[in-house]
Amino acid sequence: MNLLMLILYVATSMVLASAIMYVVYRVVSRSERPSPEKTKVYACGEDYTPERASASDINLYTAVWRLSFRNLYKYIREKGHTGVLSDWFFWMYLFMIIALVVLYLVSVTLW
Amino acid sequence: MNLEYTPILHVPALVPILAVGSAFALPLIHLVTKSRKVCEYFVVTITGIELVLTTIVLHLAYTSTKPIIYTFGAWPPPVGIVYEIDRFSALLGVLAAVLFFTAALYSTKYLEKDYGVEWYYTLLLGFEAGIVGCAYTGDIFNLFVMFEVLSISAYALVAFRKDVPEAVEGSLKYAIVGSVATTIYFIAITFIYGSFGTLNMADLAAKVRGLTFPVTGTALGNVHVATGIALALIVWAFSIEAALVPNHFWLPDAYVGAPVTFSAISSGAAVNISLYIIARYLYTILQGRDGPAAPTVEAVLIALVVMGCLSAIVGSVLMIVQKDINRLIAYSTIVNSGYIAIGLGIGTPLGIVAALFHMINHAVAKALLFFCAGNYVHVVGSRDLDDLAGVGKKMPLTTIGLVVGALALAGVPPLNCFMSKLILAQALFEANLTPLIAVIVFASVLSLMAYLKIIYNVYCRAPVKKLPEAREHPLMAYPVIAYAITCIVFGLLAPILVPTAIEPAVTDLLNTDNYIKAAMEIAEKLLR
Amino acid sequence: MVMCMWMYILETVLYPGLVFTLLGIIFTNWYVRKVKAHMQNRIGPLYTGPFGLLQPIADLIKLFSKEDIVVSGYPARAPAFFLTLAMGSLVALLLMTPIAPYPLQAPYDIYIALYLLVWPTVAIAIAGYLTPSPFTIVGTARVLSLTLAYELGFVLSVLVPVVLASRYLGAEYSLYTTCTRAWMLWTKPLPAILLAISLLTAILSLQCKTMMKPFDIPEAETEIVAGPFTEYSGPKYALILMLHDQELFVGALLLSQLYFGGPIPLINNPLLAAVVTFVEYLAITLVVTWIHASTPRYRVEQALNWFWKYLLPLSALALVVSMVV
Repeated sequence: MNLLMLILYVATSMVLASAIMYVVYRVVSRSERPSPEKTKVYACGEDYTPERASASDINLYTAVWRLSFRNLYKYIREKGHTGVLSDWFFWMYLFMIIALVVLYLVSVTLW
Repeated sequence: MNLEYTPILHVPALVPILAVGSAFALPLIHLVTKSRKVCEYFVVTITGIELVLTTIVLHLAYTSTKPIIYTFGAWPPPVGIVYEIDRFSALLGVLAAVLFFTAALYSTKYLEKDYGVEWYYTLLLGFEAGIVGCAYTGDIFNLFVMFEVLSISAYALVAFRKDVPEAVEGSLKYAIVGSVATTIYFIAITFIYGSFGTLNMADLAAKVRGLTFPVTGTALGNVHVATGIALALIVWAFSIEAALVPNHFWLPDAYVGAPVTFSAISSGAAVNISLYIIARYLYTILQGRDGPAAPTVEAVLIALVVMGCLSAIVGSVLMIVQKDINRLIAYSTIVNSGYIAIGLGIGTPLGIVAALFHMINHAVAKALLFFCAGNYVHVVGSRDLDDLAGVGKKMPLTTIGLVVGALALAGVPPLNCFMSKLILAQALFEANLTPLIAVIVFASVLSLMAYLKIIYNVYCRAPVKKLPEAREHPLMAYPVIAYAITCIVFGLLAPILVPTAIEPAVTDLLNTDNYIKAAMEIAEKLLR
Repeated sequence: MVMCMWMYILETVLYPGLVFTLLGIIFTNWYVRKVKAHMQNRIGPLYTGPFGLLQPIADLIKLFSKEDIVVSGYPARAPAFFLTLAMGSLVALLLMTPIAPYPLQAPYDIYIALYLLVWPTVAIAIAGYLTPSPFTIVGTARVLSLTLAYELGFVLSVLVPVVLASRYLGAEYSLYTTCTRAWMLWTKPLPAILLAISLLTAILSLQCKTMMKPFDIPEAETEIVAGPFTEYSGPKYALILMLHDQELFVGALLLSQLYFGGPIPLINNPLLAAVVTFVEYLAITLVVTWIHASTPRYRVEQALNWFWKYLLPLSALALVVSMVV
């Protein structure tokens, strides 16, 4: 079977199975509107608005960028992505010099 | 059959000329009419005509067995400027035209609060002329000129909102980096011209192969050293516009303050064009890793794979820490450009198929994401993710588009980008580069985290401040819906699209014989 | 062709599709609870059905018959939509393995299989973010942060048998053919070592993927109640529990087939083959549950560091060696 056709078959079976599950869920679960008391935001009896519970996205992946890979992020951001043009050009010209030397040597010796 | 004098064969030349001509006409039209509406109608019409014209070119390219050649002023190929369009470039031309048409439609509402839109539309048309010209040209100096047209329009487009500090800063940085790139490309051309004695791509390919071409004969000097140095400079110069690490620094800064239409087109079309030029040099002119210049090409291919992996890693790593919606999506462009570079760097036909298919899929999905971001920013007036909290609930259509685009770009089956990544994975398996799958998975996982961060912010979070009641205008919602549907349809139609559209294009790119022969026949006919 | 189509639909719905998966979910739930209880000097489910086998069904009936509570201002159906989609993706994965009578297979389809395993993460993340309380946000962010560890670990480990089988036995990087051939490599010394290493790392990644201790960080009940699932109850919570058990069930079945061939070595005797596959699945689930019941919990960055310091280098090394030898 063709690889791209296979993914369509797999997707069809995925959609079919999930459609059945979803229908079962819809049939089984009671779909009446919940009583108004249940839709209220409840925060342990405190007067707490949803706005105050809105967590900033900067706190989401701190485990990755502040704890586990701190050094990697520090390196990438402070060595290259400083926003200063001369830092950028250091890396760009470094790459250009390497490319020139390697390709010069390859072209002269191997070709 | 004498095809030279049928009017339809003038269409390829008409595409850039119409764009440039209308770009120059637009300020005059505005001067006379003083009407914003007229400008908008004019630009939408012109980009629509461009779309039709590029589609005609695509049809011509896919129905003919040879690349289409257009000689300006009937000068024979190595002497005059030539457009040589095979299926690969025709496909990229249509892709760019679609992006420009939707961007023009979208701009009519997106820029309603801005003034001086006639200059914006002028630059947009210039940008289109540059991109389509780069795709169609068969002459490396004409390529330089068209690339300058593209770049200069792009620098100015970035700074269109000149009262936004980030826009001006980004534009200035982009201009400095970009003009270095074009200058370096110019130096590379001098190396090539000095040793080969020609600027025509077909002629160059013939000379690399050691054939004689009409008028110029064989190569002048030592082509080995010149080719090596020129290739290094060319890859360096075009990897700047393609935003491959370590030449990617300008891109997030430029996209932050720019109109999202520019970002969508740039990451969809300009990145593709730069990668296309690298591929054209490697596969058509130097004839790939089996051609005469095998060691040099092999070195460049390895460099492309390394740069692609670095782009995927660095781009995705920095994606998850961004607070600015445009900047976050900009880093995702670096990631996807990396995938395309990996595909081109594998060096097998299947790798190029994956790269071309991912170029198209990424352009569609990225335009979708940028337009969604534009819709939100347009209503709220801030690009900060914190300020955008909760705005997605007021714009259900845009949010659905955002979810589709985000899942597509994160590579969730069966959406379109998954299909191209699947082909890329197959190419990696076949080339015995299996560990690089881990790089793709790593980048995809981080991208998924970053996209879910946007979705969390715009949809799931409770708003932190009072949001305006406005919703998206239909003209801003239609492109989003259209692109979202395209994302799904391209995924489902992949088994048909790949063999009928993508594979012939890649065959054309690799078929140097045909490329040389087409140009040579025209040259001999005109010289007679 | 029509015959084929019906066969294929039957596979999706009955075996090894939805019905089989549901039975598997119920059994896995019971088995994990029973094993964990015995390791903690308890008895576990006892009263409903023989040995308490029907206890998970009773739980599901209870959850499904509850009211479907919706957080105000958030979509009522979207979490269920994504959760069922993830369950469907795991069902589709089983159709690509040898336990399916007519498996779906093509060369290089291992990449599809790997990406089908991403859907549960996507679904849990979306379900978590769609009920914005501090606990769910923290939990969901932890789920996604850990993806960086276990998704990579799983991919790197699973690729080892695939690469080995493709290089030695011509499996063409397909999940099905790898399952049918990779088990033969246990007789050769070096491939056997590589397989053993990657099996270990794959099981540990599965441990993290199914949020079992020491990697139950996203739903650490002493810190953040139930993580992404805090606000869920009733039918949607039933779906979440089912998805969770399905991940373990499908993951264990997948590993048992990838590394030991599942039914393939004894394919001539279907009954024995089924028993052997079942035992292999029980063994892998037992290992996962054992670790779950006997370890304390890591902090999220400890888990990430642990993966990146020990497990990922080990599995990457195994992959590179398997490509070279």
